Amino acid sequence: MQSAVPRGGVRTSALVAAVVLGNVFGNFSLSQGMNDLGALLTTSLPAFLAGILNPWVGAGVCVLILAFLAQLSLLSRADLSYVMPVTSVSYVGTAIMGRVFLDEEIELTRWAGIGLITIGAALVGRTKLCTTPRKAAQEAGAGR
Amino acid sequence: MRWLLLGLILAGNATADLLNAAGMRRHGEVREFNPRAVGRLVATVLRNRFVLGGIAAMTVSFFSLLALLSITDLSFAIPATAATYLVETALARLILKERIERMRWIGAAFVAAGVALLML
Repeated sequence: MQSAVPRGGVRTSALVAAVVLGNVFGNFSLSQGMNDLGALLTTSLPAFLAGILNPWVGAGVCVLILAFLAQLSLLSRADLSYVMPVTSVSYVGTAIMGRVFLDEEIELTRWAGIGLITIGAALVGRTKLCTTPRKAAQEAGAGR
Repeated sequence: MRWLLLGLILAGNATADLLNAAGMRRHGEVREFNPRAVGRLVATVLRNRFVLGGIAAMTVSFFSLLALLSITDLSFAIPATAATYLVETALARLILKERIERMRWIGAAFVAAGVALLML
């Protein structure tokens, strides 16, 4: 059974939110951990790998894995050219997290860029979810 | 060095997303999200060659991102990777044969303008 019909609704929105929030908090956590560690480019490979054991980095990785699973689920029902721009609103959250919690400087032009990306994401969000044929369901999670 | 790392991140992201999209198209729609279903999803996608290839490309991109974050601000590192979206919209049309309507192109153009401002 093929389904090229656009599919919206709560679950798709929830998946978009999961991808966005997961990326925002995962990247924030990673950045926090990397700031703790300092510049890794001047250290050895073991030191680089040891950085993964940093709690902030570990938490960031876990959250990003969950966000990745949500993104795969989203890709199972929507076009790549829909999913990527729509989930790009995570840039706004990332910038705000960086500004508020990491005290990073964000210039006016960068804010303008983030604003344009947000508008672009909103426009893409108004388009059809899926324009390509694909299976309606699969064995891992289609049993209802 | 940060521009080299940025290039690796962009190439890795585009490759990963194309492979993941192709893999999930073959996989079929995911509808349930309880813990057991998520466990089955993980088991299934780990046998999906496209998704495995995507994960390999993501790994390159991820370690490049870690290195970039260690030498530059989060507010540079993450928004600068947005160029991926332009490349991926074109590749989605060319390779995945997605039908990209006018509104989606306009949205992509806004994203492109945003990326240009971020790179200034």
